[in-house]
Amino acid sequence: MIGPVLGAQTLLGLAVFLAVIGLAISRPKGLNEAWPAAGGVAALLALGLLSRADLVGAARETAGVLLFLFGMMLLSTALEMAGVFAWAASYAVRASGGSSRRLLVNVFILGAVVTALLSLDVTVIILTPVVYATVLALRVDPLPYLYACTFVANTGSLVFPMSNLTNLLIVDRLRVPFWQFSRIMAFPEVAAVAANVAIFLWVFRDRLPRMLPAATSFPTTAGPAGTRFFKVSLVIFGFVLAALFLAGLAERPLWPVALTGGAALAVAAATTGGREPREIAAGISWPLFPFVWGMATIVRGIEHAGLTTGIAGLILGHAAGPLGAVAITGATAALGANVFNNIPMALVMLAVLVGAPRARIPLLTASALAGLNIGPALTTVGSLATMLWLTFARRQGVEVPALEYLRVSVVTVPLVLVAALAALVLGELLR
Amino acid sequence: MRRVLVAVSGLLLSEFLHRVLSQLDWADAALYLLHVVDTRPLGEFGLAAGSLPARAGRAAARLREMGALGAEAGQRMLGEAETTATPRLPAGAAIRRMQHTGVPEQEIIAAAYEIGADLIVLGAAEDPAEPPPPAGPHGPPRFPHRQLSPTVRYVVDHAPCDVLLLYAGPRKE
Repeated sequence: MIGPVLGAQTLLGLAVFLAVIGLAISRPKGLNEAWPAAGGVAALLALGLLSRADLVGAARETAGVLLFLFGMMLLSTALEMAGVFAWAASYAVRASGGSSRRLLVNVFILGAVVTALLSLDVTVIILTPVVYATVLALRVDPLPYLYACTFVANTGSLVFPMSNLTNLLIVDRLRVPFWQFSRIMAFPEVAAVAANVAIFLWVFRDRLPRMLPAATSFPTTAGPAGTRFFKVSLVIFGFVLAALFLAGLAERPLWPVALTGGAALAVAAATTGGREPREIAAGISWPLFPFVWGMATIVRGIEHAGLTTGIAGLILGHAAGPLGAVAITGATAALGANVFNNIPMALVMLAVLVGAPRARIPLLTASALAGLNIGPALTTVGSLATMLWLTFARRQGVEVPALEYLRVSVVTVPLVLVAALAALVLGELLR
Repeated sequence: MRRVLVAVSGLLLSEFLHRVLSQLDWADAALYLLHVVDTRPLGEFGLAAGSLPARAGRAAARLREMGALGAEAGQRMLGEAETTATPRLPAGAAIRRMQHTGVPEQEIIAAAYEIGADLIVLGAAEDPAEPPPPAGPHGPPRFPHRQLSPTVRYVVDHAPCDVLLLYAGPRKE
């Protein structure tokens, strides 16, 4: 099946794809990801695997997603400035009633809500440091809580299109309606997060003392909650969320809502919050935009080279029964997300799913995304990104014990993935 | 002179120190207060954040902030510990503050070798809240069980000297 498609052009296309991903992950000399993506596009153009029409096509395909992302980045940056995340984390502590286990569950719930509504990036980049600071103030072992944040960012990113860039890219392109997607994914999301909580309560059982030692000395009123900026931000955020769900229900594009809401919150940050526009701009990951466009273009190139056909055959050949289709799609996506990183793998899976029978698309999309979103939590072990991170950390004088990460993620990721996929199949059978 | 290494982790800090100070004879002894900034949470954060596309720059900045925050929290605890200890030690007794960065259990052992410690004092978080259950139908009675943290177990296993383990809460009688 794969044999006939592995011509010289296919191999060259594959080599370019791998080189781009290698450079994007390793970032030699701090090179940002946009450059390898642009280089890859240029190489595929030169090889004749891409035409100018592909560049425009990829831009048109990703424009809505990128505008949405831009709006959401403005929004989350302003929310952070307003102290919303710090307030939420201190609420999680107060609601734990002095129990370290309940605090772990609360961190999971908070992380799952932030991930579902604002995306996994926000949970990792913004919420995790806030939780770290909060737990340090409590003077308990921060390790379980940090793991909770970084894991729930993956396992809790299944439910809404905006929870993960992979969801956005695939759902947007395949035109799976917002609510249909969320309805299919709700059950796997709950199953994945619940499985993750249960596993962590067990894995970290000897790091979670029964009582939080400093719970009594923790300030009961969070500082930022009183400011006008905080209140204004929460109100705008509430409106944005309501508008996003309504837009989803009406099957309208989400990006105008995100862009308007993000702009409104940025204005609030600059006026009521007294922040410099420069500070707000620093919260935007600018290289992400050319990177996503570049990768979407490159995947078109490898599609032309016939590379995605092999994977498509493998998956669609098993698409007859829901169980086989779900298992093989989820596993392929999870594996690929670990080897290649999840954004490029999402685009590869997208190219595969486009060719699937229409009736099968929602289920296959859901299983691919379960794999793409949960799988990368394993990345903390085996992938290229991890190897490079460990080397980087060692160069900074921080000895990171790789086995410690392996112990946690090897136990957790497969079980959580199985729980999510089982919930997906169960939901499908019950329908 | 006896060198006593006390690992400070914030766990009921002042109660812990009062007990350390009252249980030992401090004539001709030096107190070494050690705090370790645990790099594993930072590593886990960096790993997760560093693998997100186009986020490595911000991740690195956040990582530095978090590292500084951890070191600062530790310094605050060491300061508190020293303030608690000073008036209770005999005049002229030596107190030294140490801060290491790494995996706490390994750093505690490293510090013990470094100063040539005669005793390591640790706190353990768990207090067995339940009273002992009645003896089972078979075999000996099952006494309440403590779950010692991996840090404590490692130090006990690897210490080059005696180890004194103090439990966090008062035992329920």
